[in-house]
Amino acid sequence: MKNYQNKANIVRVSKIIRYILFAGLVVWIIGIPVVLIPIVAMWSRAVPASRYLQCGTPLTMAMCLIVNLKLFRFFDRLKNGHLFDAQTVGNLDNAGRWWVALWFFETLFFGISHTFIQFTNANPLDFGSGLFAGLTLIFVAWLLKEAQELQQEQELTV
Amino acid sequence: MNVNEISPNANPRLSRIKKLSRSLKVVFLFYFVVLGLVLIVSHGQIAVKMPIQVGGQNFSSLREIPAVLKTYEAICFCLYLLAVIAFYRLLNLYEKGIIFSAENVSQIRRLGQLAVFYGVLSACLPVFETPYVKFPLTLPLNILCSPGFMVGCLTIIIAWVMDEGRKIQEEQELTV
Repeated sequence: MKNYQNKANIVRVSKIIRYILFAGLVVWIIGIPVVLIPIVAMWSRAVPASRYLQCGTPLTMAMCLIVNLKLFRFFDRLKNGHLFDAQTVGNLDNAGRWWVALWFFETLFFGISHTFIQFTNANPLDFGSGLFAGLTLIFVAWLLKEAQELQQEQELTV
Repeated sequence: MNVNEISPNANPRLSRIKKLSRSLKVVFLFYFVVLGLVLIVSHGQIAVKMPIQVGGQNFSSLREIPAVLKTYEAICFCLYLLAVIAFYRLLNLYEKGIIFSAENVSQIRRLGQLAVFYGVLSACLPVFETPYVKFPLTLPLNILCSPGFMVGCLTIIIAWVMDEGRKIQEEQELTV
């Protein structure tokens, strides 16, 4: 295995971020049922507008959970020292794609609720940042794919 | 020939990166023209006595803004400008097909450091405004929770990873 100079730093910081993301995972895993149970219990009594909002919230949370999970896996791979391999890059790429999907879903969901239900708890600036974050992750994943190919070539040459 | 350049025709992904960087540069420039226009319009609003929003507070005139907030805004603006320059340079390098070079790594690292500095600064703002309130207790938590700090840390990790990529490429060039 190659002795990378920055690897120790990457592993150390990835470990800390992995812990933070793990805490996030726990919060989502607990949070989704906590939100879902009252919705199911009050489903028959709810008006259509509130049903719409109640359906969207757990779905948004589920997508957040997936983004969190993919990022957790990415940092888990980094923590184990796998910088440039298909799984590491794939996890980052998927995290970016899911983040973009989350942005799209949120925009649609809050857009509809804003237009038809006059629900105003939506900040358009935050949604733009979600798209930017997702696209940035996809772009970084492309760059890492380049590095992955270089490493594979290098290993074949040596 | 620059050793850091990857052969452009060999890789469709590289051409995609170059194309995207070029488009991003255009979007970025357009964004700045629009932002400049917005600033001019908001300056006009100041003239017609609209409230000025600084650090989450509203002020009726420039003289009312405390010196701490003015300094904070000036530093934030400088950080923003530096980040814009670093980002633009990075896009320029990607457009040229230079992905793994020391210059790329330093620009990414600079972006990360600026974001961390901004995160720390924005978390410290309440302390500067009211120094007698809860000084050391909530400050580390505020810093850790600030999005700028987190994004900055992630960007610095990306810079380290890209630095590893640069080393692989240099090794590759030497081997070939």
